[in-house]
Amino acid sequence: MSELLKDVMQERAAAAGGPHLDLDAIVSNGNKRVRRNRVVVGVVATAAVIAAVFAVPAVVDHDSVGQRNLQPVTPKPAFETRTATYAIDTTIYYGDDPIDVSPHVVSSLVQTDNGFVFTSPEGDQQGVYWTNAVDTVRIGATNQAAGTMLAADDSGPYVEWVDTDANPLPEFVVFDTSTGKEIARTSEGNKPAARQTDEFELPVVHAIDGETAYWHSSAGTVAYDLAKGTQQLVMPHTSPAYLFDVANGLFAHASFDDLASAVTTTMSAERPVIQGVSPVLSPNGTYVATTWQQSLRISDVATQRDLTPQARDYQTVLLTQWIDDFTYAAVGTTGGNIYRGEVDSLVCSVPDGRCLVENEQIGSLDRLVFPVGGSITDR
Amino acid sequence: MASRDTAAFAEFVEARSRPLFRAAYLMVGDHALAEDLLQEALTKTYVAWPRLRDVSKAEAYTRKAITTTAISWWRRKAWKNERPRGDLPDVGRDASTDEVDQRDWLWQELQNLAPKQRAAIVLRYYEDLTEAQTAEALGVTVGTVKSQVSDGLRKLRSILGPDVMLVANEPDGMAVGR
Repeated sequence: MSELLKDVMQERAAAAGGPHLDLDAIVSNGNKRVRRNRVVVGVVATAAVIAAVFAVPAVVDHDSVGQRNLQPVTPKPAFETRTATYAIDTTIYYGDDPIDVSPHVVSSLVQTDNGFVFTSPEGDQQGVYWTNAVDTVRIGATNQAAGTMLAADDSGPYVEWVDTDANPLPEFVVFDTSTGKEIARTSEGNKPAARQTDEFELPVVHAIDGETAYWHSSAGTVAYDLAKGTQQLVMPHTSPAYLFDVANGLFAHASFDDLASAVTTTMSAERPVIQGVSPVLSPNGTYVATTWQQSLRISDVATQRDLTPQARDYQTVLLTQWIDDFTYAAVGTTGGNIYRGEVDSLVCSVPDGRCLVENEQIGSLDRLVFPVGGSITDR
Repeated sequence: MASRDTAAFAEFVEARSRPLFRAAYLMVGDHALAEDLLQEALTKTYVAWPRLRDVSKAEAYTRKAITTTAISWWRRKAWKNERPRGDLPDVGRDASTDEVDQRDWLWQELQNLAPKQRAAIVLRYYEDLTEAQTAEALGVTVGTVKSQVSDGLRKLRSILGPDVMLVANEPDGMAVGR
């Protein structure tokens, strides 16, 4: 017996004939995208390996159809736009662009304006890699025991992590993806792993806000001025789980009230309190997303009002990233346990008060990686 | 393929564009749109070319780009998943009496499936990909591929009737007429 569906597809496919493709346009448009994506490394002083990897394509990047163009151009950064993004195994799905980073399996992910930075398991530690969809280069290593592995701002070129195996002390590293250089590396405030007496002394990265990087050293929460290369202990003896996010000068941190957070202009302030835990600020600090009663709550920072958009039919929703100050990407499930079943990708608008399904059943949370710098299930 | 070797890329396009186009056509059901889709997918492949290393990997990458781009286009254009049709054949009608109509109708209904269901069915039963390869192309898990294929076939089956074999080895509890 014939297989009707297969037969019909084969007949229709055969009848469709062949395509008329414009190879010149493909190559020309492709070269434009390559030039747009490729970061001009220029003079790389501290990371010779990066210089080697990026310099090679610049020299051998030739084509017989399009025009050769080796002029360094730095127009608008190629990854400035934030969109619903996730990774599975060795592929980062940036909107509808699959970015293949094989053989590296993505275990945590952040976005910068110049590409994605991700960690990938390497024996007993994690390699830190940067990809601009054209090239993927190793830029460091980490083995951070808790918290987010990587932190980046809502926009801009910087990413930070802890080089846990640096000798003699763990070091905080800040890397600039617009130049391909480390711009900060310091162990100030840290203790050797063997002498860290409890989790309060763990070095952990928190957030980047403009030209300031925030992390937790063995001494407490630190603000590092990237322009001046100086650091300030903003709150001593804090838990590494105290500060969650910093945006537009606002600190989103844990509250001493149960199941609440606080968004304040100074870290030590405790009011106003916002319902929910694990606060993540929108890029301008207009809204804050928290986890409340096992789902997502969006609050107006100024008034603390609940402005959570309706995600009809979705029982549980988790934030995956802010796309801009008014829009965020999320995942949701219509039933059952979000941590076990398949999730849908959503995009939600706070002013519109609603969510749209971006992609159905993208996978289960134990396999999906979102640009939050660590595991979404740990938040 | 270590560098962006345009000659090798052109060779790849020459050799593989026809089968890739056919898969794109089955996903969108429109010749011009399928050409646009393939053109865009090949542009993405060209950008990724130095990392793809061999032709089979390049083909898999292009197929993945076709699939994710098609789904994205569907989403953006808010295409209707199930357009109402007034000319459906009666359920249980003897297929042999009107085989041409039945094939036309099945083609139309395939186009009316939800985009991801249609893509999953094309990849599984036209491209003959495994469930794992289909999952990779769609950017979803194997479990999602199973449910998308099963739901899509069930939808076709619900109107076509139980006596027609759509594909061999249909998911359990679906195929009857073997």
